[in-house]
Amino acid sequence: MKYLITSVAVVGLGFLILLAQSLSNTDLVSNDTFKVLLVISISFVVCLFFLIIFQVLKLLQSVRKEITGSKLTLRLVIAFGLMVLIPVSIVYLVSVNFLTKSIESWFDVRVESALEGGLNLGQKTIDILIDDIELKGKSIAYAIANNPYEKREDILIDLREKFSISSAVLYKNDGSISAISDSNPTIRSSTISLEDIRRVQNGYFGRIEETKNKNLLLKAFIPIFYNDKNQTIDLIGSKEILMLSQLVPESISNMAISVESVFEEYQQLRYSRNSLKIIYTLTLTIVLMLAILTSVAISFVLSRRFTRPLSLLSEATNQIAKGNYKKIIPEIGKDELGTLVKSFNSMTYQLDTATKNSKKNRKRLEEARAFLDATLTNLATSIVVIDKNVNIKLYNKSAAKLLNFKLSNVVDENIKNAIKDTQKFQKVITFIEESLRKKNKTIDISKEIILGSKEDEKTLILKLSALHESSGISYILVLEDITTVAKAQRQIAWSEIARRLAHEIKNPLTPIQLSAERVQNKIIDKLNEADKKILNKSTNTIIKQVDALKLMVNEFAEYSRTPSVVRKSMNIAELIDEVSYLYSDQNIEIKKNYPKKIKEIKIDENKFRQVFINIFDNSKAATEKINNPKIIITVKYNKNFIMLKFEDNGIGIPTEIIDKIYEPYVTSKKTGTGLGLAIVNKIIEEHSGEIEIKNTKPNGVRILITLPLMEIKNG
Amino acid sequence: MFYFRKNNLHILLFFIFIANPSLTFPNINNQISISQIKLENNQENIIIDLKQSSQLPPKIIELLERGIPIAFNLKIDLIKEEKYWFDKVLSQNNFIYEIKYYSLRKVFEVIDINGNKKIFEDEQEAINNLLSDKEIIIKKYSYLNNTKLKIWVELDKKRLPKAIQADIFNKSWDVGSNIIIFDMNEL
Repeated sequence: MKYLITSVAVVGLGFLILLAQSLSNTDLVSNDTFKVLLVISISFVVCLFFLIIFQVLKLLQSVRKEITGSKLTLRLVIAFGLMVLIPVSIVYLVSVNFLTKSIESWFDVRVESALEGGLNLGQKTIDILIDDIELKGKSIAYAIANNPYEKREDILIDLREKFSISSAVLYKNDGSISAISDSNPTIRSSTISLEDIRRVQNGYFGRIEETKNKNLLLKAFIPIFYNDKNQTIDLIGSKEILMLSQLVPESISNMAISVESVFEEYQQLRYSRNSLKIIYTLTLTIVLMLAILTSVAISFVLSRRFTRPLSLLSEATNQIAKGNYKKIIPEIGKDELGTLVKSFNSMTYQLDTATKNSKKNRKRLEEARAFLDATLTNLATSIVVIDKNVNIKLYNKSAAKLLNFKLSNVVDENIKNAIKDTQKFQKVITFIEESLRKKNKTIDISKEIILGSKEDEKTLILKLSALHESSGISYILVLEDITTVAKAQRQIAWSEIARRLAHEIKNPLTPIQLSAERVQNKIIDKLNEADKKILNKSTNTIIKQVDALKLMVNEFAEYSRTPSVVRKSMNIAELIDEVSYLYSDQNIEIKKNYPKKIKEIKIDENKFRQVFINIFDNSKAATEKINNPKIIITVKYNKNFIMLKFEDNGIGIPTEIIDKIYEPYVTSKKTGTGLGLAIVNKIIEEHSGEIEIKNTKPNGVRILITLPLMEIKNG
Repeated sequence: MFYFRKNNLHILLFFIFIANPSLTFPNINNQISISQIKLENNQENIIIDLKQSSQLPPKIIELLERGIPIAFNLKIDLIKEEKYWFDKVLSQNNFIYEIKYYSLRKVFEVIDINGNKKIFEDEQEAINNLLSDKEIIIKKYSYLNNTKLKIWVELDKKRLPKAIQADIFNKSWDVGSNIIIFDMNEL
């Protein structure tokens, strides 16, 4: 835009110069070129005006939008504009006034009067000369008319010379020359016009003519009437025309012509008085407008040039305040502003680098924190960070679950208030309090505790460590739930006991049984009937009890046996069907809910047969005294698991043993060994599965076995 | 662009100012009437007889009496009309006639279209002579079909004194006649 304004201003200035030059050239002013120049100049002024108005509006809009640098630009433009407007306006007013007065003075009334007077004087002089020549003509005409006709030429010559007349010609009525006398043949006119002949009939007349040499020539036409006294009869009543020609003296003629010419020129000039005033005023106005508008246009350019670096700096500062450190200002010159811009760019670069590093570090920290959070959250071990006042600062999900916090967020809560069942976790609280009481800066204490009743027993290892931070000392409490581990250890111990017991018991059982049979066979024939009965009864009792002991020992042996799983791909539903068939004639309704398509899985067939027999046996025992005994078997798949659900409507498991039901020797049956579900649990664990046994309402038991599908498939 | 949308009126006014011929080039006043035109067509020439009004506008009389020469230009153009563009001028003919008052001699000099001079002492006589019937002969154009003859008279401002020519804002000097157009097909 600034280039456009400058171009328009320059072109306008060019046309203005042409216009000014044309004023000094009357030829140019008088034709259409001047008009065209005027129109073009005005057009450029108007264009420039609108362009500047556009710029002003744009600038005002920028000020309204509070664009940086716009206010300073506006102030500079106003200042520059005023700097030009005031002096130029004064010059303009003075010039217009001076010009108008000058033009008026050219057409002063006294000048016109003087010119008119001069012209009148010339006219009067000429008139006197004409009167004089007419008078002389009349005298010559009288002399000719009153003398004999033959003497007319002599009289003409004589009187012409006497009156000092340049030329005298006597014409007949038909225009032919009758007599002639002249001293200057150049002005002689050999002919007379018919108009003059006609006119002279009415009387004499005189007139002024202009010669080819631009001299004034006076002419007088006088009729001559011949009377009858001195003339022959032929001429009586006839008439001739006398034409006298006399050059106006050169000095008078030149002056008179000059006055006439000046008068005419003055009259012409009078008409241009207003136009001259208008043209000069208009030109001056255009000059004024163009000067002011050009100055304003230049002021726009200069103001923007001044304010641009400052605007850029301000804009860049705003950007940096908003966090954009990549803002680089293009370098401007080598002056103070240029140095400032260079320093600013250097500062921005340093800030940018520092921010990038800070961001990187922050990101790393955040990642580390997120990793720590994720680790803590998903850690099976419970962790609680407390301060010296036992207020919780940090804890993970496992801790919340283990300690059963009252609220979803217990940060800044005292651990005593945070735990719902403080009685249950009293040992934990006591452990913390006792540890903190020691006031040892390097606390690192651990302790194993058992919480809860026999039914809900939990074994925990507590560990409290001091953590020194800049904000003060904190303590990390680690709670490791080792209940399962303890249980497993117990199971291992039980297995070992069972294995040894079975081994130790099994060895003497067969000799006892064989000995009892031998005693019976060897002695029975030697005894009377009564003793026979006693022997039979005793030996049978020994044999039966040995069998019972054998059965018990075998089960022990089975429980303690080292797991060796032999997997093969099979349809588990078929295995369930096979086992359930054994119980089909025992007055128990067996209902099956299988999916349409049964996927084959890899399991140890014999072990699972044992599992299902155990489950059916337990259900049969539980439903013995129930009307309409019923077992519902459901098989379900989800994405990664197969779920086997066995539900009966039996008497259920007593609540006092339900939590220990997987342990050996825990049974509610009078004749049970208490090893069945312990073995089932072991087999399921060997297959990486889970078993859940729950009483259902109003009665019955639900056993849910979940087996991982992929692991089973892959073996 | 925003400005141009918003200120269409200003732009329109600006263009009206530039484009308006009355502001840039003044109109010609019809202060002379030409009438009774007779056209004769012979083998080589077209002969035109026309009558003008016998009066001159008072402003022109004033000029004349102040000794300023007054010239009129009788223009006869043979044109071919164009439907969507300016008419094409086939031939242009200008006939100048002039009157001047010599204040020192108190006579009027009339120069007719052929350059013949006549001196008159009486003003009306001189004007009558100036505006007397004109017989104009123009060369015949070889092709006259669909052509028109355009005849009009205007004050020849180029022959006015420069000082008056410079009076560009004064419309008094825009003296002219009505324009008469003849269809040459009817000739």
